Amino acid sequence: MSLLTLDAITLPAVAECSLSVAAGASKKKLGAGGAALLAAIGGHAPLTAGRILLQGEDVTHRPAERRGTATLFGPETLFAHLTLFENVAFGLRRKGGGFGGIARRAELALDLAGLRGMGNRRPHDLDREQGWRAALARAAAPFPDALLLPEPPGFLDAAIRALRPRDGGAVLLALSEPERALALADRIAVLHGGRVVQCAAPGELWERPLNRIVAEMLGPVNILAPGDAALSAEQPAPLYALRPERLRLVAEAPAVNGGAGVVEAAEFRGDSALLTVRGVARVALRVRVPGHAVPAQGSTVCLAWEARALAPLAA
Amino acid sequence: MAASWLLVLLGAPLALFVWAALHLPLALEQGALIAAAAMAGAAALLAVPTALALRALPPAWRWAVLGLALVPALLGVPLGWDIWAALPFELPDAALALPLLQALLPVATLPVLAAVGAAPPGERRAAADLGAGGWARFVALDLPRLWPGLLGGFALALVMAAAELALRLR
Repeated sequence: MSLLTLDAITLPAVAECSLSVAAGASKKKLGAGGAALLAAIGGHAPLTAGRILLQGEDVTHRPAERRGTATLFGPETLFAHLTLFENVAFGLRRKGGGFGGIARRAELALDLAGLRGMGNRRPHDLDREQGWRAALARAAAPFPDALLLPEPPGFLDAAIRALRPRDGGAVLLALSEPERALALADRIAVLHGGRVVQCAAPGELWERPLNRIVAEMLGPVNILAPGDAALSAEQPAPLYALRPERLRLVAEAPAVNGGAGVVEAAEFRGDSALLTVRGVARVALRVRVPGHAVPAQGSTVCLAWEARALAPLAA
Repeated sequence: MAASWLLVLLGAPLALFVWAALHLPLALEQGALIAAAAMAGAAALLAVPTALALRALPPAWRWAVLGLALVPALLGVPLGWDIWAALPFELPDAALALPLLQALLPVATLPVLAAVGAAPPGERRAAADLGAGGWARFVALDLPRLWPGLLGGFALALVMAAAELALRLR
């Protein structure tokens, strides 16, 4: 049984979204509408249509306080009259459990969020980053069935990994930065135009995007049509996605799946550089090369790629 | 500076009253001060659900509705009593407390509403999200914030009630 099921739910920003999340999964929703979807799952936004099932139970019309979900809200929502410890213990107290157990788990959550020894501080003593950390600890401490993180700031990533429920729960994030989604998630649902376009593991999503939208949303990519270059792919398709790291600089240009071109620009990124090479295909190609071996701008290079690097796309 | 200002503010009227108590025929009606405190307490307690009900209204309406409710207080309690007495049916003596309470309640509600209204809006949502239902949210979030407003409301109502009930120059 899946932990969370969205059955054709419709929201002002989302059209007929269906998803299913397994327990222990860490799933990211990428693209516009993700935060709206999380608000609906948490019970903070009414659905226009559809059903939400949590642990097999229909929670569509249940108020937020009886859902077993926890949402990350900003630091301005911390309870100002309570200490950080009491803030984090708030959800734990509602769930019950002995005082010792509650105290231990609240301290642990503060530790994992990077606020060790700050349990006696008040929210107004914190800077913004610490406030976010406290808000994350407060939401994650009761081990909710689903921890909902709409657009969490990037500095929380390590704490999100540390606080993620070990068993039985799931973390759902809405992110608009693909690199973070690829690094954090077990599965990613790509939303476009309020619909789930593709839902897959990060590696699969990167290597086998369903269409051009998914391919371009995740990161730099070359989109090639069969007539754009001498292509030899494993299967026929109207379009192919070719990731920049799948192109290699070679000594001699092959007849198909490669060619000679001129380096038009180079974007240095430290560990790697992203070249723009013109002349190999009808469109300029993006090529990722190691940062320590970047060819000079204007130099001629020979490129090659393997047939299986060409990921077929739906039109 | 501040101390001398407080001395003028508090000391002068107090000295005046001490002089009055010694030289003028002041009369403290039997139990009237206690009755005033009881009325003020009742008004302050009733102010809590009143303020919560007002908070449920759209922000622009809250103070407008409370302002309308203040009209009996503005017109004065004696007028209320006169109207009460002119009603075409007999009322028990205890019902005489009602016009006073009617005037005290909106006055006591003023500071209570100011206190509960100050809660940041996201806080309630966050509390609900952590499993706190309506009553738990009231106890955990509203009650700690209510105390200053409740004390202020009680003080205002006590001043008003005591002025009506307690002391008169004979």
